[in-house]
Amino acid sequence: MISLRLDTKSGIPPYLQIAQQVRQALVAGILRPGDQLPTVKEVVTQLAINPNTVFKGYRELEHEGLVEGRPGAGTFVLRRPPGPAPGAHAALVRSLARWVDKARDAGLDDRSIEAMVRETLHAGGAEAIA
Amino acid sequence: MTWLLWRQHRSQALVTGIAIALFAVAVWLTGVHMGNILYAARNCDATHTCGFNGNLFSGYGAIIDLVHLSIVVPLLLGAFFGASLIARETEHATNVLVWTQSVTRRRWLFSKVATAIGATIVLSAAISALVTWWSGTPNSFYGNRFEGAQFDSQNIAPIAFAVFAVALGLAAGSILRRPLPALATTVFAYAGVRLLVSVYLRPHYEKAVSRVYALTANANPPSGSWTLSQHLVTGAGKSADGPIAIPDTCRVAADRTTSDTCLGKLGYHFVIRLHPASQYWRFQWMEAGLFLVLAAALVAVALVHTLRHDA
Amino acid sequence: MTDLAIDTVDLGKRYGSVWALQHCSIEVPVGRVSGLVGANGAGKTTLMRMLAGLSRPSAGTAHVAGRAPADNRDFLREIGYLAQEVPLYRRWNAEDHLALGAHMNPAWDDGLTRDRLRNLRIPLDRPMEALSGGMRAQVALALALGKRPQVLLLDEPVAALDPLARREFLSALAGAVADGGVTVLLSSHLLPDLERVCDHLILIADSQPVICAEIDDLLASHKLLTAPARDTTAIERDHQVLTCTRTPREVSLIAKLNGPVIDPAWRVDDIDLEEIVLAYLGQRSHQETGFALVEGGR
Repeated sequence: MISLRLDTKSGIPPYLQIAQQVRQALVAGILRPGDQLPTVKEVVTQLAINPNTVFKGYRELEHEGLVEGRPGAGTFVLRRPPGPAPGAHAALVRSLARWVDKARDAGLDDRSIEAMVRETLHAGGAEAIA
Repeated sequence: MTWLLWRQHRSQALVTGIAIALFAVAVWLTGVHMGNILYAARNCDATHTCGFNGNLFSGYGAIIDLVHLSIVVPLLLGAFFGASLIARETEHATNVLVWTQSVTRRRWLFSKVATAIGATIVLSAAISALVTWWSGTPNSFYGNRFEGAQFDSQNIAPIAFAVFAVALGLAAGSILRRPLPALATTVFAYAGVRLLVSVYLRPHYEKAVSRVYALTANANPPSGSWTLSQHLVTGAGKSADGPIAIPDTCRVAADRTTSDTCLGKLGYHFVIRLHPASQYWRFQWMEAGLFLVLAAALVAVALVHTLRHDA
Repeated sequence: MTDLAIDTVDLGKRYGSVWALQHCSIEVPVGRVSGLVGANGAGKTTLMRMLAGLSRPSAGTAHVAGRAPADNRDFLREIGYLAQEVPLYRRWNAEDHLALGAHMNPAWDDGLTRDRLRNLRIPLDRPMEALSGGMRAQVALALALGKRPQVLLLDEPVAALDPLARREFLSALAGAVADGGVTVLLSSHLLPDLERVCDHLILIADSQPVICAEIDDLLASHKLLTAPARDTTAIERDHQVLTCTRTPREVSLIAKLNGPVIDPAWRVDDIDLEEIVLAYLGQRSHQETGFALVEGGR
């Protein structure tokens, strides 16, 4: 069983946070196919959030084909998300670490680095900046 | 509603029940004792036990006070029971709690008020019955049941007073919405109305009867009547209040009787205005009726105001 | 057309010559948890009391669970109300209050209510005056829910509670909503609490409703627009601008968008609920002073 958290300051809509946390639990193997997700009531009582938020989050996962809602029984895991296993992005992480070192050498502090990353994400990646 | 009424008022009911029981015991014991004293006094020639000193209540001073204090019972009921019945709920907002259950405001109000009035009638009737029974002996000895405190505390008048006081409390409580101001208002209004009625209205329920007595006669009003006034009246019909100037012709009289006869020949006599004893029950019903009508109006005010006003 | 749990048309309440609430036309669909926000004295309690049938409107109409508020059993059965003072009988314990609920409500669910109190570890035999504020609020909530209303009206129930008690209350409320079958109108002047548990928002300012919408719609349609200093006429024409801040270099607007922003010079950012509410409140206060500006020949 997983316990869910809510970060009200992150700017990410709560229902997406829930979907994200379930997905991460699936990727990490904490939740396996056949396991039941926490019931809407359990999540809602733990986090003091609106039930619709949980419904929406679980529906996201349903659209991705990761879970299945069975009326009267609950929501159950169907399969692990497709894609690389954890650790598959090790190369990306390493090149990111190298880039961060470069940025720091150039004199940027952490906040400027974060702002730069955010700007780039916002603008849509390399094609947009070029 | 039955459950709610009992749960809210059960400790009040218990305390009142115990108080009445104690009162009844005290009244019973002293009443029987008094009756015995009077019976012995009236029959003392036959039994040679005359020693009656004219005091029916020897040794029972406190009980007399208690019985006479029963005159205050209506006021207590009205002030502490009637004034807080609705006002306590509105002050603490518990009326909002009960008015958002599934029982209508109307039903809640009518049950509460009906129970309050009903309980008041039963309570005051019980006390009045005890006091009336107890007063049988002093009534026949002093012949004063038509007067003042005796009239107020026996038979049906005290029941009407109690209902009036509670109705006053209900009306004050519903308008003022807090128990303490309602209590104060009830006390003053009750005292004021009772005073006004007994002093200015009651003597006029019926036309008073005038009895004329010669000075030499034993001018005592008949037992059981209500004396409104006694005057010495001159031959010309003018009432002679204060020290009278005895005419010289009578001054030389040796004793009181001769003086009285002399004055009598000059036209002086006593006039006593009274309501005869036969009117007692008529007056009881009229007084009770008046206060019950007032009570009905006040209850209507309480009901209408509570139902129409925002919670 | 979804059913409406709460529906008012031009509802108003006047005390003497002062309107505590006016031109109040709001709709809350069934199943929502709607947050009623506004400053103290804005008219929230006035609205709630009219919806609960505790006070009579001076103007307009209201329907709650399809019925006009009235002193009859059919209406009273459908609502649950929790007043700001959290009124309970001080000397009574929780057991007594449960009995009150059972005797005064035909649709009373005793088992459910007892379970709820037991899960919260609230002692049933201690008098209300011996319980903490948070526990009393939970008892009152359990009572209101125990009669199985269709619409639950809660007037600032957490205002006087500490953060932990507040969280526990909202948890209990959210759990009850998850059980299904109840629409909630919850008033507060604390927006962060409402953001978590509500999916619908009503903002009352100066005795009138200013927002009445689903929170998702609000978040989707209200955006922060930033651009280098320029003329804003086009934006103001196409969308509803709430606030406008100008510096010599830059202009930023908070607006309710009526469609996509075509001009690429504008950067469009999401804003959170608090900023949206403040934008509406700021707009109102500017409206009052703005009058003078317009008159002065702008």
